[in-house]
Amino acid sequence: MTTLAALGLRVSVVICAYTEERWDDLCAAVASALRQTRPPTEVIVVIDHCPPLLERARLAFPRALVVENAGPAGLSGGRNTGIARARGDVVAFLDDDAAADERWLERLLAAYEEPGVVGAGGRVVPRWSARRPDWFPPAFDWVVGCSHAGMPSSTRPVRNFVGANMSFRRDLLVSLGGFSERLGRNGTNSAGCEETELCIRAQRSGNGVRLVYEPGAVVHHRVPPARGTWRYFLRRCYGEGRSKAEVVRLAGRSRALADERSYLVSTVPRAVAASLGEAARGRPSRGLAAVAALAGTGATFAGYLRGRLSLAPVAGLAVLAGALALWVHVLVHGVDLARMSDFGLVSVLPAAYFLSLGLLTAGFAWWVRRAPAHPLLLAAHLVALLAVLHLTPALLYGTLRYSWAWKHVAITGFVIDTHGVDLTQPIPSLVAYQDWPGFFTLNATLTSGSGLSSALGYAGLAPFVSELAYAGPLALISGAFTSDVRLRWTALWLFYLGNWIGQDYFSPQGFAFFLYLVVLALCLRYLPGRHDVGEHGAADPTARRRRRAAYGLVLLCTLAIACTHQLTPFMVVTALAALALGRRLYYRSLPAVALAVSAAWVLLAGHTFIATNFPSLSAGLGDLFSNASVNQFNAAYASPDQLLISRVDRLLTAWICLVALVGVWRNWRSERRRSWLAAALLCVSPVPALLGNSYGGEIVFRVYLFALPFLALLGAAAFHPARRRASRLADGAKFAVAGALLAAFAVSYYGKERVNYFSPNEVAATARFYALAPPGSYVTGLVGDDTWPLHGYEHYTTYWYTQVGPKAVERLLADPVGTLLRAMRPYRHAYLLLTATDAAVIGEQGLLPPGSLARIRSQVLASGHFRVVVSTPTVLALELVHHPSRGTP
Amino acid sequence: MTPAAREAAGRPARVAPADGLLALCAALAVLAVAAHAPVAWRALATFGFVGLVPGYALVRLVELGTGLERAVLAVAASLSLATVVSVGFSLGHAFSALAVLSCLAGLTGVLVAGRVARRPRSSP
Repeated sequence: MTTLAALGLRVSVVICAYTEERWDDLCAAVASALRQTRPPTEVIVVIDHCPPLLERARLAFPRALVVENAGPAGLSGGRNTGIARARGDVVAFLDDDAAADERWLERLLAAYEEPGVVGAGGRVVPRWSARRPDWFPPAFDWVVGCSHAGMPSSTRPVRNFVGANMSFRRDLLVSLGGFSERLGRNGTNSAGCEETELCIRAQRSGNGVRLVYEPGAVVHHRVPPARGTWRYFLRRCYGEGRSKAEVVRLAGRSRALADERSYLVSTVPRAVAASLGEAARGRPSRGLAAVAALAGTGATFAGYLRGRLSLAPVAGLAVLAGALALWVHVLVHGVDLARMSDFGLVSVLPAAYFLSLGLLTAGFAWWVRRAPAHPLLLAAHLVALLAVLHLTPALLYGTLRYSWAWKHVAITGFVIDTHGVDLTQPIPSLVAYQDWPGFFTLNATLTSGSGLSSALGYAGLAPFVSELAYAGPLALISGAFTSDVRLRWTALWLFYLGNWIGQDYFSPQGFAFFLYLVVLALCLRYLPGRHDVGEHGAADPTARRRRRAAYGLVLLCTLAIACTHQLTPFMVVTALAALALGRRLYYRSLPAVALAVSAAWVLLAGHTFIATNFPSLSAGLGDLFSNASVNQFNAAYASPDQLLISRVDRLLTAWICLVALVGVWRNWRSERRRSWLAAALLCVSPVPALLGNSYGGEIVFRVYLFALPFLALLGAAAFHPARRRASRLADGAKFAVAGALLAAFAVSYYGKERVNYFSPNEVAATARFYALAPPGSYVTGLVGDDTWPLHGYEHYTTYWYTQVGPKAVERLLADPVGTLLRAMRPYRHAYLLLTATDAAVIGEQGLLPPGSLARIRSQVLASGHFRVVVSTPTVLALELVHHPSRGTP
Repeated sequence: MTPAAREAAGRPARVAPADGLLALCAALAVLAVAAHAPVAWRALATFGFVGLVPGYALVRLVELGTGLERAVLAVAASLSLATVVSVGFSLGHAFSALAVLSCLAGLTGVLVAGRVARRPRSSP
């Protein structure tokens, strides 16, 4: 007898239909669903992309809710649409060519009175339109979508149901994301197993979860004559085998094949033996049933083998191995870095390198199409891409790239040498680092703890390690927005191809960006808005404990960010504020608390820097357009190649933004809209930074970097819209965009390498210079983008003309020797340092008129006031030797 | 069987080997630095410990995340803790790798002890 608890459940019946050819069957199915002893709350008829049928059904079924399939074409998409529209506590599924017994729902609902039952299914009895063929074995009734011989005859837990007669708790279906749209019948194809895969996921959803088979809940499934043929029988068996292979991929072998093993060793042999027995007892036609059972088993096995023994993984591995082999070939044979032009590494890398990148992109695009299968292969492609993109410079150069990385290694050395930083006695050239020392003290711990003489030994790996580290929180962030695995992988790929900014080197901002991503991942996954959590979630003690833990971790990361970098805390606060304003943050106070933590650090430690640099920091306050303008080059003198590269930078940035807009547009009408509003908010959350300061002309790029994870997510949605099935056209477009992005990224990221690369000769010569120049010396030069001494840099007074400003440069150009003498005379030891990298920076960025550097150099050498202390093809260091008159500094 | 399931089944929770391993890693890292072990061993111990162990002990204690999520949070928490602790020593002009590592190891010990203390005691 049905209990009151079960009677209290509301039930929605979902019937999916795709063709008018089954109109009579559909009418019978709807009528049977409405004629139940336990009437359903609603009957939902989902029409699978067939407008004439939709119109007809809307007119014919006034008591049913007739809707169009809002997902991809196919049975899974149709059922998922039904789930989305259902209001009942339980959703029951009935095929369009099946009719339910009057007590069908009553019996199904009775099963839910047992604790832990999240689904109930019933018996499906074949109703042959013509006479059942003698050869058709009852053990193979699953071929025609019915319960087969060997299934339980009493109520008991099972692994999965027959799709024509099953029901689940709606909450469970929603939490599982519905049926897999990679599986399931589409029109007349012979695929299936979507219900098996769902049932396996359902049972994995929690301890004690059960699916119960109730043979008393009966549905009659019409079997047309076309399904009583050998051709259909074998084709369907083969299709089932292939679908099983897909289920194994999605759910794992042990669960996906557990019932099939017992079916093979028990049910099939019994069926064969029974058929042979009947044939021996005088019904020779029944002997064919034994043949059919064996042939059906063989066809299923063949389909399974075809699905499992796919050559695709082997081919995928071969492509990956080929790409890596090409890369290793390039590394082993090296490239002539001396030939590097203003196009940077792009000008010297061989075709094999770009072929390697192309293969990785093609392989990745191919595997994303097959996701969620083979996640390890996808991960391997991603790691390989990061290695090829970000390890190549480190492995080819043999020296640390980028002047600022050298500087950060030196400051790490400073922390080790001085046992900390002294906020009361700031060193002018280091004040920004003393006031935000987090990254340097962390690396001082790692360097000193490891017994290394400096961080130089591992700083070169920073771009690769940083980018790899970003993948973790990025995956968590995308997982908070969507369960579509293909979209998540595509978002990662887009992020990496769009991240041309180059802030991944050995730097505080690279480290702080990782923590920024973790903070947002924590907020999006554990601290969603109260509306999203619901009353139950708000009261649940486990969820409450996790929220508090996440809150604590967010504060810990925010504190680490606050003492590491100046700009990132602002970005954290604006991102949290955006989430709070959009009601996507559980604790509305969190932005204020993060702001308090950041402000407290500035008051404690950062005030020296703020006070010293207040005029320049406040100059751009509120001037959005001035701050947003990028003025890194002097167009009059800059290299044309570099101007082209800067245009590619802008194009790539605009491209990513445009793709994100397309993603918003394509998903605007889907159910993703509400949840993805948070992504849109996070895209714009860094924009207020433009009102603060130009950040050395870089603020617009920094804003782009902090928005990039969410731009990439929205951009990926452009390729995987919620309502459409993937098409070859979309795949082709995806590949074309990925290829174009890759080309643009290579130009943007590698195009500036001429100024980032220090030859071994330059590194050695600069080190020799600092070994000769005693502490306390005055060192001047034009740019200052040099390799720093690893220890003791703070003991030098430095002055770089192009960093100071245009007026200093004008004075130098007007009278090079006189200007230098006036600046250098007050110091006992004063040096002029000119390097090959300085010359490259001046040429590329147009910092001086053409020929100025050579003129300064020749006039200084001819003046007689300087003596050469280091002279190599890459470094010229001159010491001031004549002091005709000593003046005040 | 998970500790919670064992507890529900009326059996005492088994002490997880991971707790002991975390404490051991912390002790080994401090020992390797204090004893001036070869650079390769020190580097392995220092990077491995600072990059993962204190944070892993923390996210285990608060039972946050599983799989990839727990790994990401553990790394972030570890590096954040190491940053905050090293900055503290640095501001006090008392920075040394051994001091920072010892502090982090002590913190790891406290976190591990906190987790062990929260387990149900086995009956005699």
